[in-house]
Amino acid sequence: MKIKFNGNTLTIDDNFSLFDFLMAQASAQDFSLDASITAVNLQFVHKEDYSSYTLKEGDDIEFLTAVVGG
Amino acid sequence: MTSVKTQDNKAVNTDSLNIGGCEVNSRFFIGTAMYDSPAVMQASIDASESQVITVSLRRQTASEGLTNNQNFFDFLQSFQQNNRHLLPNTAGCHSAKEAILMSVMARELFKTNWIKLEVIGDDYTLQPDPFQLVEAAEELISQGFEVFPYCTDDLVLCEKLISVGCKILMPWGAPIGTGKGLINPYALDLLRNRFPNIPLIVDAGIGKPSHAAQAMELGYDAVLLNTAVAKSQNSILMAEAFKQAIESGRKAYLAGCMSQQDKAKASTPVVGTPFWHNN
Repeated sequence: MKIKFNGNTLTIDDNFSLFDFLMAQASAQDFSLDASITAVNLQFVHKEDYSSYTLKEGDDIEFLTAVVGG
Repeated sequence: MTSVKTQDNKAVNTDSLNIGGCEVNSRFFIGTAMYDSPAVMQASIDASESQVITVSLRRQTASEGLTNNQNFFDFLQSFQQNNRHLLPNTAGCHSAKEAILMSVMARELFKTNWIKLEVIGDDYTLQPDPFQLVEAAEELISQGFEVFPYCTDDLVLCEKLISVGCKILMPWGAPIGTGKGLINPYALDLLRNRFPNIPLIVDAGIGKPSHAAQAMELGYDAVLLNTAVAKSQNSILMAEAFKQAIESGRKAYLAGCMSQQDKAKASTPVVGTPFWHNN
């Protein structure tokens, strides 16, 4: 199925939890889950809910981190 | 802390600022962006002695890498100790919906209910959208946020923000990053006089320490700036210069500046003036 991750369309297997997906991304791209926060379809998702959230076709994931700002 | 002396020369260190449920001694709020390096950023913040720094949220990208990302996050967490505070912003948001979501995410990540609410309405001037700003402020306040709204110096907009529950206002001095200083001191003075009990912070447009001093002389409670320090040739020295200017402006406001006069008045006594007055 296809999902969006930070604006990029990805094709992934079915039955991925949000937690497993983010762990895979963190490992592959040198990300930190500790210093990040996630929304799916413009809804904030608590970290404790990552495991229970099963990704579905068309999900739009925003994976944000702390950056400098003025 | 600004040490204030009374007429009998006693120092009184009571000029702290109550803001967002906290008491801070520094009236200099500083941004974390655009410095030459993380080390220069941290040294500039140290030189500023600021207790409030601004941060933001962006998409995690592979180019940043774990080390940079985690190091910055670790720095922020350590900064939050010892009565120092993070002020996350919603920079880049163009609608109330976007700003509300970013605020919720910022609260979760940074563990603070403070939010510098920015909803941009014009990309050339980065002027806030007043309608979306008020809508977002009202919703965020209902969700328990302490909203620091980045707004223009428009009196009616500021009244609306207060009416939906804002306890702090952050009018611009000039558009973000322009360094033009206070382009409408009349409007800023009007806000100060109209809202004597609302903490007012000039946010954006400050280019030189004298601009910051001017804001403080008007009776503003604090100044928030970033570019003027970060883009200086010596950010650390400039941070110190701003710190001193803000303290100086605050002292001048507390002391009470003289009223302007149209007619010149000699400061040297005229009684006993020799020579020509005898003719």
